[in-house]
Amino acid sequence: MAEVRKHTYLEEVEPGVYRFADAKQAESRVRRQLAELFRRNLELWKQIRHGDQSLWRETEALIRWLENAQG
Amino acid sequence: MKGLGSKEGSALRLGDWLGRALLKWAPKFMERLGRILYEEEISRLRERAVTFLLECLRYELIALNGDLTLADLRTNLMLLRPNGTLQMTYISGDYSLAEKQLEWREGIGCCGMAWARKEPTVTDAQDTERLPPTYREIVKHVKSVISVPVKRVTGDWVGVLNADSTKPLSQSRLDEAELRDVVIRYAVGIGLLF
Repeated sequence: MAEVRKHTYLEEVEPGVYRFADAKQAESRVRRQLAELFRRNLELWKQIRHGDQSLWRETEALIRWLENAQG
Repeated sequence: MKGLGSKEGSALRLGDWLGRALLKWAPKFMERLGRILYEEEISRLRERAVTFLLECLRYELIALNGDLTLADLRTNLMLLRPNGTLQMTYISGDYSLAEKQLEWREGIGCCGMAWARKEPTVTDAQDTERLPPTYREIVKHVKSVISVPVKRVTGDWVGVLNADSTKPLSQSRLDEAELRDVVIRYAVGIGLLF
């Protein structure tokens, strides 16, 4: 049997199966980072007039979803 | 129609009817055709993007763990099938035909556990040994797996993103936060494509 390096954030749910205790925070962090990425791109698109109002509105909705969605 | 024979008259009436029908239905037909072509184009773009992202994920995980090579790590995206099982639909790395044909039920294997719990899950060789015999025989070379469920923007779940290795967790390090966060990032990104 392979030796498993235990991390404090790992919780064994069944033999050999682990969940991450901090998974929700990690997903939330990743979503916030992606939202920020889209926000910066949206700012650029508006500055250089890339796309149209529809694209901008959709991107704004996507940013809100990324910020609010639960993992 | 005056002066025309019955054959010519019928042909004209038919032509007239066809012309009217075309005028009536053409815009709807064109709109529908346009939508189908648009959806097909989106679908093709998605297939290219997902395949490319799986390759990027694989390379990124290897870049973060110098002990791994491309031969040690594969990635795949399993999509939910109408019968409620998960099956590989996009892959990066060498998967056997038997592996690609496997259908995973909720709670079976790392992907099935991640799907059941709707949260990132990691498994080691011990879990592979506990799989039902038919599964175990096919994936016995897999020693560690990380699976992250993929959610689309509408909120429903699409499938599971997996990275698996022939190395045990102690070497693949798929349980480390840094690598896990990378897989989560790709799972969120892939979800935006569906």
